Amino acid sequence: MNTEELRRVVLDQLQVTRQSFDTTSEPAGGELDLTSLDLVRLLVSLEEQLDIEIDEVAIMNARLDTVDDVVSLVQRSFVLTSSGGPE
Amino acid sequence: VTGVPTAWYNAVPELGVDLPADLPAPGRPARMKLQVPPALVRQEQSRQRLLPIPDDVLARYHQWRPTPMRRAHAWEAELGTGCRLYYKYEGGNLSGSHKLNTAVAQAYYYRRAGADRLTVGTGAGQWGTAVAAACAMFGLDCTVYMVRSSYVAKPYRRSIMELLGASVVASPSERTGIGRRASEAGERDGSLALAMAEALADAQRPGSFFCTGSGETYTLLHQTVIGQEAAEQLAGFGETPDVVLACLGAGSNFGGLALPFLGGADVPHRRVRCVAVEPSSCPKLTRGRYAYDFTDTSASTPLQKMYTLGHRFAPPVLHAAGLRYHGASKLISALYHDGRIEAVDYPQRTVFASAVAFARAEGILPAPESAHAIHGAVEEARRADEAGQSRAILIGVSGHGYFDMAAYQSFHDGSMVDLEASGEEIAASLAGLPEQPAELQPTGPRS
Repeated sequence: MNTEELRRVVLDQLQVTRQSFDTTSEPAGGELDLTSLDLVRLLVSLEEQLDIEIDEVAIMNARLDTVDDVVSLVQRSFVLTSSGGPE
Repeated sequence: VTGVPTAWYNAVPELGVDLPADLPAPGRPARMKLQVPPALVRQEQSRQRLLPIPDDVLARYHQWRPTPMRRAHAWEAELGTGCRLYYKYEGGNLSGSHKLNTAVAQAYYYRRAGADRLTVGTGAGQWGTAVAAACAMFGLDCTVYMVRSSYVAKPYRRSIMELLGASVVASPSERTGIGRRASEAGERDGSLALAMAEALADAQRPGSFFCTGSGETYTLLHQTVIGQEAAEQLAGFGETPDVVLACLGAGSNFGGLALPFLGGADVPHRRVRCVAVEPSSCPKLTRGRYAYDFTDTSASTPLQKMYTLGHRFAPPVLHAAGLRYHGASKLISALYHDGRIEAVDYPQRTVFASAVAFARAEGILPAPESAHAIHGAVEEARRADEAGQSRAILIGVSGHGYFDMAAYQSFHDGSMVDLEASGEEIAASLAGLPEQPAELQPTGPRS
């Protein structure tokens, strides 16, 4: 799974359309309107969907200012826990 | 003696509860510091009926669990009731209450997620003491914001927290912006919602996290060791309770005892009536509104759908400080809204009268919070006797009252007064609820 595919998975989880959404957007603002707990829920859902485990310390210390930050965090975990990680 | 449960009971999927989603706070900052370890969120999202308790947590539980279940023979005789009264006593640990059940679990998960310090708000001091104890167990620093009225009335609560290594701050304090603003506005006694807001404000640096003792669904999950043990212990008496009573602050004590009895279709305890007992001065279920509201006074937290008196509601200072919270947890609120649990409220003098009678008969001094459940049982037994029925009544005695002697002295010398929340106070507070989603207009109190 490459970065673009991973981005699409995240957007699917967020139930937003690419056409109306900028991945540099802030998760807490605009179309997404997530709470901090929602962000953790999103990451847990991504873990289940992608069959990966994201490091708890990395999550708690992450700066998730944009959706691309979320993609990047998941991507790093993918590389660590899966041989089929994004390119 | 029964065993200690090796798993927490996950009631949400079994009860088929559809919890309304949280909503972001209006005007919140775009940059958010995550406060809840993923492990706790995984528990909330799990569809498994039983979630294994980690070995390190279970080893700690074995230090004081299983907790006693006793039939109150002497108290029954004193009341002259034909009912069988059983109580489950959670006061026999260092914190003196049920709160240690989730404090230990949360400290474990926060430590594993890289925390080096936890901050909490506490009302009566039970949650603060529990987290201080749990932090000592798992090598975490701890800062406790304690409601000032309790801080003054219960100096030994502060002492035990400090002995455990915690830093204890009276709220409102000068350490946070919201504390300073509250003080400038003339707030002196404080409230649990304000203490929580200060604790959250103090958890913004790396490694520091705010944790909550009640309200969130995972805190209720951790408390289900109480109800699971109780069901097994009552089975040992050959009993299934007709009624389960527990006091309600936000819901962890009540949920911990009641949820395993509410159960699902395959659980034989499902016909048990579960009754939450509130103080008349803070009657969130009986007189509150089912609406989206903030979880503390900062008006910056995510909105949760709950029975609430309004986040600005300032309950009068009552001796059951652990019940001075404006809202009930999402899960308990949803169950109440669906008519699956009941609620009653009582003024504090009748509650203390029942607590003293219980103490004299049974040799245990209950916490003022627990005394609400005890008085609820007196009323249940009286009604059953009048109806010519003999019921098995299970009471959650969530903690001891040895740090609450000022309250008992106040009752004893006659200076205690009943403080009932007025309709005007509640209406004024509810007028300050945040704007509700269009499709989710608030629902009034159940009739």
